[in-house]
Amino acid sequence: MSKFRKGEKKEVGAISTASLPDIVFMLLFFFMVTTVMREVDVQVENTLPEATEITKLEDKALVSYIYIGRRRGASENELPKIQLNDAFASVEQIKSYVTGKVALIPEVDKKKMTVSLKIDKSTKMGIVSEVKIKLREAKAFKISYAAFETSEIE
Amino acid sequence: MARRQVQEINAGSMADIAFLLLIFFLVTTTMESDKGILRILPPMEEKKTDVEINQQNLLKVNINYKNDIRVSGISRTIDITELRSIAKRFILGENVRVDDPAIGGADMVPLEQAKVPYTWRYLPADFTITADHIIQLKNDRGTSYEKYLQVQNELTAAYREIRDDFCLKYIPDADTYDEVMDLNVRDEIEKEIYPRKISESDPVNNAQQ
Repeated sequence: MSKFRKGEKKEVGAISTASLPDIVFMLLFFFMVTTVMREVDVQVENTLPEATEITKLEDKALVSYIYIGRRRGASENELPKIQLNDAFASVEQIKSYVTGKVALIPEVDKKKMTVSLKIDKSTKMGIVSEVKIKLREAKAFKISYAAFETSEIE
Repeated sequence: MARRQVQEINAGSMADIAFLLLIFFLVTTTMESDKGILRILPPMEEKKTDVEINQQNLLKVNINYKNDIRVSGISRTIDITELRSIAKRFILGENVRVDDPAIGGADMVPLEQAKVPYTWRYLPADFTITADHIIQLKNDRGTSYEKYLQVQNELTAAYREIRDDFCLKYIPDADTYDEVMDLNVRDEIEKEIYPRKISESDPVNNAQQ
């Protein structure tokens, strides 16, 4: 007679799923806290170029965005458009847009305002330069060329 | 008096509800991080002031509408991978103009103690920098933004590598610029010793858009 009886079937107990809601809730809270709802609907093609020398913008409240790219779904030949907030805009509107954004920032941080240029990588420099000139006129000197971070550019 | 037993609420569907919410937040979430290459634009000038810049202190980088990169003093087109080392050597005062050797490297100027009071103690007394060098970036209206940003990226990388090398060599306890703890020293390296000197001129319009 052996100590270990073989052949006898052992019932495997069902795994308790009672803690499943807790785990799911934990995940839920994590995503609820980290989630940032997109404020604007990007209506232009916006594939950012890649870069290695990247700085992170710390305070989102101090960042305004300018999107540039072709209209979503437009043909290759169409000229790129500028999008401010939720609408397409002309270069001339940039100044008032920036002034409006600066007005929302408390006095101490006004100089820290950064304009993040989210420009599609297929864009030509012509429109980008025009935007830059308008930003200089609006005295928004701090800019960031938005880009994806990569370790190496091929 | 008949007492009604309060029935326990079935919590079995709780997990389903939570899952539903979870999926909603998973879908709407954008882990959007704002990253990019930072630049400070120059202020608008009221009137054009012509500043005399000596030839040897000026490195012109030109990207044309065909996205070819050219550097003054080098007669062939430059590959993007070469640009970083060319810029680095230029900033450090080497002569990079192989096809125009008469111009020479940028002027080496001794560093003034008054400008770098905090970093001074780590440096040899005869430390020189190319204080007057300027990298002039020119592009065409037809240049692609992607290429332009690559060039900006390489120039930024050149300065970053120079600062890193400097810190590794002279600053104790710091192998890279990011590891320098003393904010005053950081500031001096960034603003006085190796400041970024990239100037941009308004683009020229060379026909083909």
